[in-house]
Amino acid sequence: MNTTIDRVSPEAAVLALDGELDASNFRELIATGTGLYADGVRRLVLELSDLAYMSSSGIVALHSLALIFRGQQPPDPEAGWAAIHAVSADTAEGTRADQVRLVAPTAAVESVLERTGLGRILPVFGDRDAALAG
Amino acid sequence: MTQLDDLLADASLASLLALASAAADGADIGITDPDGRLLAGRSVRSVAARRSPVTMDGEVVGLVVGEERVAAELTVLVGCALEMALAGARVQADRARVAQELSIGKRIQQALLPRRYPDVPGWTFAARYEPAREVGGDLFDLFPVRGGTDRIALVIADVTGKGIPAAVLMADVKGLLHSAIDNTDAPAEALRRVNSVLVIERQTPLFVTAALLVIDVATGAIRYALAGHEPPLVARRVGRVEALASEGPILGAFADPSFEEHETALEPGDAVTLYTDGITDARDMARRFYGEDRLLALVGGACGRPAETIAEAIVADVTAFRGDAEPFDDLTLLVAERRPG
Repeated sequence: MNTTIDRVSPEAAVLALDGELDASNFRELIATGTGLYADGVRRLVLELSDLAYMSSSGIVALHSLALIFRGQQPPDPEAGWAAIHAVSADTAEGTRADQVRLVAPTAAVESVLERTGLGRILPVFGDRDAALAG
Repeated sequence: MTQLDDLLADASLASLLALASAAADGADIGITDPDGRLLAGRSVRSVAARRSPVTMDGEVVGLVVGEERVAAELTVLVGCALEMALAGARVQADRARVAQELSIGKRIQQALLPRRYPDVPGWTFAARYEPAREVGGDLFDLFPVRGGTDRIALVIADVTGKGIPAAVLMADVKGLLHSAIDNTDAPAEALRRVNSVLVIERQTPLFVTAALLVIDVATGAIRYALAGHEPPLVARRVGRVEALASEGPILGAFADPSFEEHETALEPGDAVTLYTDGITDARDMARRFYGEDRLLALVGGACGRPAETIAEAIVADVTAFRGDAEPFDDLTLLVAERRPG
């Protein structure tokens, strides 16, 4: 999978994913997000129109990014579920975790987001301008 | 005890030092620990000895020490050879550890597979479980609810991740689902309860998808609920295929999720197939996916056939599709058929 970073401002970056997100590369995506957050990015837009496929590892990566951009530790064997619950607790209370936004997922990726429930946690936009603005 | 200890027993080390010494006209060359204690080769006492560090992860783990008349480059060369050997040994150890993890994970999975199908008049069951090289953490289960004779539970689940953590969670979830179904009969409630346990009591970053069906064996009525899992497929004897869709998120990720529950019924000659994404995500050599459409078509072509035939047909088609491509995920199937007549 190819990743293109467009740092549109000190606080916002667009990460375009081209190819497939699976067990072989999901950790790299998390690492890229971690690096951007450390560099001051506080809004991450993931451009998914060229992402043909996402496996369950991709779910883990998106969850991790959502947490990282809330300033929390991504899940690891030591951190456990507590971090993820914080995100879903927010969602339950009505405040969305929208520091990470998705743009134009393909039908295949959309159906994974839909079926697993992850689509509730990460807002989806039709194009990158809308995602950057909102 | 030093990192070099594992290399000391290697005959190649003795050869390396002997050759280095010969290249220096028989001068003494030895390997010491960082404090100068001799580990291999010959001791060099001279104050003006040549010393070259052997480092690993930026830390000095040993010294190559040669007499003064040994060329500096030679001690450096011996040091490099040792560093390469250490790095190689570590790569091998990592690989061995990963392979062992996968192997143990697989054994845990195998140990948890149902040993026999329930003996239910009027019903036939078939299952297939083909583990991939990379352990994917699939599980299936079928059992009489509360050990009775009126209801059968069908379960299929898929844990993300690989190796031992995935297998351990799978074993955990299997027990939780079994108990939950025995305690509530209602698939949606069972998923809700298992989700609660995972959310409140477990410490794992892994996710689980699941499909739960409870069948009334006398009437063929099915209650079902899904947690982020592929909809099971009903093959109607009349020649129609239906996907049993139902809303509900993956287990363990949400604090208070809602799971839908739906009902359907199998008539005599109908069958229901539960599967995991190891089938639909199977790829051929050109990296194309097997996909839902192909599976639907295949099951459609097997309408009215016995459970074993359906299971065999699916496995055969996926295997044929995959060709020489390496299977990446477990292939797991469970079929329940209400026998005709």
